[in-house]
Amino acid sequence: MNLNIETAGELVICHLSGRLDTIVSLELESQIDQHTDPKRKMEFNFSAVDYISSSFLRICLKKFKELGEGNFWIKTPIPDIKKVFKIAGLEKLVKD
Amino acid sequence: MPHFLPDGCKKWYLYFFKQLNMDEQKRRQIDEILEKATFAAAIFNQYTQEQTDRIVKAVYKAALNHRIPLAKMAAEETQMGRWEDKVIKNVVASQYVYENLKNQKTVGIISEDEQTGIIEIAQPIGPILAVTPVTNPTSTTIFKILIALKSRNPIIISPHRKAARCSVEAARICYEAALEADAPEDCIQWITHGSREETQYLMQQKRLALILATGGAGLVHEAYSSGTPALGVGAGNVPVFIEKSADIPFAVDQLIRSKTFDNGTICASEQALVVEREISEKVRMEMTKQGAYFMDPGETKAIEKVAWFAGSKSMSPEIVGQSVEKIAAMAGIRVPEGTRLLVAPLEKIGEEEPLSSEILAPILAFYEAKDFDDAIRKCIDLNYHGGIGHTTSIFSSDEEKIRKFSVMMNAGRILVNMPSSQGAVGYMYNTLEPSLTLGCGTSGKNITTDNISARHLLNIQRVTRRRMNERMVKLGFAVYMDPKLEADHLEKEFNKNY
Repeated sequence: MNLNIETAGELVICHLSGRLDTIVSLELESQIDQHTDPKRKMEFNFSAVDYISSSFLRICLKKFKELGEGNFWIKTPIPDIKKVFKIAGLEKLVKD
Repeated sequence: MPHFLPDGCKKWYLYFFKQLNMDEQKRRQIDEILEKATFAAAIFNQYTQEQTDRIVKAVYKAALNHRIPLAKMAAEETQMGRWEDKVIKNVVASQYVYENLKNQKTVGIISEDEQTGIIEIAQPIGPILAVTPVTNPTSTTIFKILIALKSRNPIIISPHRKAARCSVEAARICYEAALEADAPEDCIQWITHGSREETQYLMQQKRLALILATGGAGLVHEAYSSGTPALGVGAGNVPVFIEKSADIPFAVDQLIRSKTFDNGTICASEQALVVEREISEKVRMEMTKQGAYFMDPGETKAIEKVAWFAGSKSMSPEIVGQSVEKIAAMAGIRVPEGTRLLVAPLEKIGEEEPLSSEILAPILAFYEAKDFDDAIRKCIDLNYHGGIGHTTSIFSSDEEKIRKFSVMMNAGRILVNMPSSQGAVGYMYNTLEPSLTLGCGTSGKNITTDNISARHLLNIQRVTRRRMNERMVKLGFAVYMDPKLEADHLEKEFNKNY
């Protein structure tokens, strides 16, 4: 499993792990969408993610646009993944 | 539309509004392409050497498998060159480029030297814009894609408008194969029907890392002026000197093979032959024997009229890559059946003699020199007449003369005893790197004279360990505070053997 969802009051935490390649991203997108609530904030915990594809990068951007700055963030990516967000120009999504 | 506008103005308002919207829409399209490329660059950064090599291998194979249909498509769409020769160009761009790249390290730590204490790390540079020419459309597209992928950089192909269909087809074939090998999405993109303004807009974008500009002088200049780093090419005007010690039948064979390759579309093809008077007749006879036709002054003038466009002071695009028969028919001259090459015996070099300039067609200027020094003088003039920094060629068995010639030339590539079209491109006749983008040095307004390859698309980071300079440590800095000590003394002290 690449996704565990935990709800803590106003916050939905998605614990992601492993390789988030194109196929996995497709499967995860609908699950994440189901748990997206405009009244709640959302966090992607990235500490166990070791690869992301551009499809998942797009999911992150989509959530950021849907929920707005301050209501969506990515937490504790490994340095390799932090660099991916940096190069993609999406560093504002990352909260270390 | 504002209602207060008089009727006459409404039409214009609508027109300008439409233009504005169209521009805005196109700008958005370009921004989107760049965003995709930036994402692809970010994803590519995670790939290992093995993953990268697997993608490059898959792409080269797909391109090589399509070498013939792509060559035919290019010849048909551009109406230039010979498809059989375009097949060979596609082979160079795919197989030979791959063979050259396959064992190169381009990811992470690429070298480590205990003695110097330096570790080199290769970093990809980011999205690359590749402008490709009409003369070598599919081969340049394949080539640039392979070197970009090998260096883990996404690439955006902007083809010449007269070769858009075949270039995009080449890019599409490569992209499909790349995806099949798990390459990042959007690692290869292309723009079609791109206007000059769109290309300019794209070139100026901050997210673009580099422009690989292969094309005419105007385009290369635009790339350099964009503020984005660029690797460009220069124009060629290749003199070939058959020196008297050369094996004449061999030299003539190689020269004709090269000059007629793809009907002369390669910018490194020979433009003017220089021979010493002593062997002039022998060379003429051998050339005639091998299918060259020496034109008389009247015929030369007729060819000049169709080959030269006085308005822009450059070759006429209509004769680029055309066959001898077609050019002869255009000029209304009759040439013997089976003629492979039209030769124009000339005396002057420069603007007053149009055929002494670069003509990418099977038309060769011919100069007779008094002696060796006179031949070199003529080669210098030809080299500096629009071909500075590019390529020159010599056939000779006299090492001293080869060296003299080489030192006098201003060229990134000086080719000895080989066809210059195929020689400059590298790999087949020498050990130069196979490339379809040939640097022409600062004289050609380029930053390098190298044959451009994957290594030019990497930022090399050097990790350096502490290695104290022993001489500096022993001498120390105090000695420099003594105003009486002069350079001679300090040099001796610095280089003292302990």
